[in-house]
Amino acid sequence: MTVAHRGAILSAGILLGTGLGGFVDGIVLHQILPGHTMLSSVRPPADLVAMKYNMFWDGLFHAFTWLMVSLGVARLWLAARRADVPWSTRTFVGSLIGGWGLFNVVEGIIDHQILGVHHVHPGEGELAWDIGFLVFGALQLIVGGALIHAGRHDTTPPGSIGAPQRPRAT
Amino acid sequence: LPPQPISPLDWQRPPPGIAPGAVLVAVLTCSAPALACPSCAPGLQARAEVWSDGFLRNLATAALPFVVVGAVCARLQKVGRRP
Repeated sequence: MTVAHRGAILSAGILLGTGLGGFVDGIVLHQILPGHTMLSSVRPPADLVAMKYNMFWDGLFHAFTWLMVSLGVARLWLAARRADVPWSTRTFVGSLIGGWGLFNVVEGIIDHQILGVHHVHPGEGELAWDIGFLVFGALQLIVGGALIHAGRHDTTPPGSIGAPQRPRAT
Repeated sequence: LPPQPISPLDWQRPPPGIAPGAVLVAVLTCSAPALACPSCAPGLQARAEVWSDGFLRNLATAALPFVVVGAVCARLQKVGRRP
């Protein structure tokens, strides 16, 4: 059997990593910590109307992250049904971390730097916070990439992890 | 199997979970308008501004990072796949 189709598990992991990482961003930075909201640099949430306005766009952001998680689960399900997909923990965990990092880098560059719709911690020193966010995402990409690279020769097909081993005939 | 006779007592005793569920629905129904403020003036104003204040532009802004990641995934999907 040739086990070579890593793309299926890579894309599933990256979609899941993006979605779960987006949830961390939305829940921790947008809601729990007094950081930012989706359009807080366009419409600062200084009154109830502006807060509800931002709440709508935060909700849409969470809807997109939910969509990413759903697509990732669907891709993972399809990957599990193929015999040519290497069921590698290192590849999967690496793509999860890499997906989160990819999202942080892409979102940091587009939303924070290019469009400027919000910043990680608006106000004094916001550039340092934004750069720190990008560095964190880049580190995640490096760690995820290293794990994916380490698992490049893994060949365990789906369904064989944890399967009972037959005793060898002597 | 023949149909089982229904005891009169079964009609008097609701299935477990009905009462706590009914209480929960009642509490949520009463508290939701106060919490979510769906029809109060700030809520209506915010909702109107969402649509009038560049809805498509903001939608594209919110979606763009996810579209980029999706495009990357579409490329990676082909890694190792046989033609």
